[in-house]
Amino acid sequence: MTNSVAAIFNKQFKDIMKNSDVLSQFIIYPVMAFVMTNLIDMNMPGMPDSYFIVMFAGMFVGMAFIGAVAIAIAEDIESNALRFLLMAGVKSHEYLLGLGGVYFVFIAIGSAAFSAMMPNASTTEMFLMFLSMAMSGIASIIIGAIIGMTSKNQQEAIGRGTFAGMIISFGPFTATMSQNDTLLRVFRFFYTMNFVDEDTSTMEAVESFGIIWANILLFALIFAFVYGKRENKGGNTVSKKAIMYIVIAAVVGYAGVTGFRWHNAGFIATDNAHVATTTVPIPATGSGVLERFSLQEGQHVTAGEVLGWVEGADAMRSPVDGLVIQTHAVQGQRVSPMETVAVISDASNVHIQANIEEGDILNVYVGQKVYVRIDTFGRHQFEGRVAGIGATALPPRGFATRATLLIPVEIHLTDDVDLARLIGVNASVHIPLR
Amino acid sequence: MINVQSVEKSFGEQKVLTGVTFEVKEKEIFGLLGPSGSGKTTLINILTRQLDADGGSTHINATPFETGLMLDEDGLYPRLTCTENLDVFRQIYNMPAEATAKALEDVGLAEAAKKPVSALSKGMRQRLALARAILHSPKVLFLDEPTGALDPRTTEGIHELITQIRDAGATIFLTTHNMEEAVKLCDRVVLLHKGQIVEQGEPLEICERHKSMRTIPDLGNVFIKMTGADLYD
Repeated sequence: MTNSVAAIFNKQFKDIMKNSDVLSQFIIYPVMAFVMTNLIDMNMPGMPDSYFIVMFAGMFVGMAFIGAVAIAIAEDIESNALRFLLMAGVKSHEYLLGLGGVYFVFIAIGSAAFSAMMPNASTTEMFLMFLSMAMSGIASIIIGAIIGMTSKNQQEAIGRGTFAGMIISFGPFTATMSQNDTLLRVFRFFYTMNFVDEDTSTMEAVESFGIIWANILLFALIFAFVYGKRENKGGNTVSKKAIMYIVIAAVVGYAGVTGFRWHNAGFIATDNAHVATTTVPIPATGSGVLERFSLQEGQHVTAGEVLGWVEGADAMRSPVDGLVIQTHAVQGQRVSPMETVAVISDASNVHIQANIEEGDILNVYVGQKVYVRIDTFGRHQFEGRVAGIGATALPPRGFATRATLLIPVEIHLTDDVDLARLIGVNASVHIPLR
Repeated sequence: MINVQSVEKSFGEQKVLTGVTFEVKEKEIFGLLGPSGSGKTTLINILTRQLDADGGSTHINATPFETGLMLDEDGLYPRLTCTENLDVFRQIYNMPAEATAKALEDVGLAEAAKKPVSALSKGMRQRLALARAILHSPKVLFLDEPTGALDPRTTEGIHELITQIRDAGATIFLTTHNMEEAVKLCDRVVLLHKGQIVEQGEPLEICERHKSMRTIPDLGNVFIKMTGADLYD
């Protein structure tokens, strides 16, 4: 068993390394993604940073590997090489395992490269991208194996492989670009449309992994059917072991995804959060020259404190305790009534604003316990409570019109910490749901 | 060593083998002769367990691991070198690394060891296919048209090799439509026509049996006499 799988693996690896047609396909997609992402300034407003990475990842996993696996198997069948292996006592599932294993190694290397290229992704996000790509690769290998085993010769495998690869890679791409509802509804269920990139929310990620897994299972079943038929035709007994392995893999994987879902359903996390507060504009009290006005940005003011005068009018007073965050005028300047001369931050209302994705917002409620990390304090974790949930979503910033919308959630820290001078500093929040 | 009893095989309506019965003794070179389409390849496929017979029985006194095979289509990996091609099977058979070099030496391909198969001549490919078949020193060797489409000199070399392998203790079962090859190489032959055995025995004995023929009683003429068909059709 081990000997045969290792022998096939070695053979296929050497063969790929000597086959520049195949090798160049494996290299061109990651290289293109890198070039488009880093070397050419596409300058399209609102385009996600990982746009080309996800696009080429789809072609890499779909186009390159379905074709490569299909052709490799068809070549071994056409040239009679597979017959000699079977005659030497190699079981067909050992052959497929050894051969598929090599392509999986190449997919894993490529997936790691694509994931590492994502410009603003955290390690976790990179890992999830890697995992979603590598799992998708398994689906592609199985599709390639189905095509390879059912093709009479290499030409047929090339034709069918290209056709399948086109649909699987370009379908999702076209759906995303066109934002056509029907296409989106269909291709949502294709594994190549379910890579988990840095813009994917936790809930979407769980769904994506579920869809990828369902794809793998579906193709594995088709494969088992085709495989059984072929084995019968060849006069050998159906290898029940192979089907058993698929079933075991299905059960283990299903348990894995369920576990993942259970674990991830347990919390909402985002690092789209920052220290925020209410800001109060200070209007000029009348028309005239600004007198005794010497506010500095960052200066602390108390409620009722006189901030300055306008010639012949009332004193301007701060309504709140806080910091001067902006000054818009200088002493001696002529101002008109209601013109903003300064902006004060409200020190009593300093809070964390977390922007939660629309898919997660229904799980958030006022009073919910929240853990907050603020960049200034490194990995120190503060506790807080949800104090309010925004009534409207923030305007979309995505390239696609159906971008995931964000809803601002106000969090008050229960820990005693002075954030008045940290307005705008980035934070990340973790909201346990159980 | 090989025992074939009343083997029947049809593909759909077409009857390919009818009541084929013969025996191959240990350490002999046994020839299966017949024109294209006589059922030779079907029979070799049944004997090597790639096809099931519809009726009758076959028995081979060797496990699949003790069986070597060389087919018309050699199934070699064109991009891999000779050594790499053999190494795939060496690893499957779990043999030491020296086995590859020895097999290449045996077929006279030691100098081409590092050449990719795509750069080999047809004759060298045949020899490499033979090296793969004898790599694990099988007890039984099946050779389907081992010298098909080869020039006389290369054919000569392959013949020598086959004789050497038999002398080293293997039983060899080969198919051919070349009567000279059969006479020169085989200890015993069967003549197959449209899936039926029309004559069997030692080549010279067969010729002797038909010496009353008007033409020279070689195997080819015997075949024409018995079937009305030419072996080379």
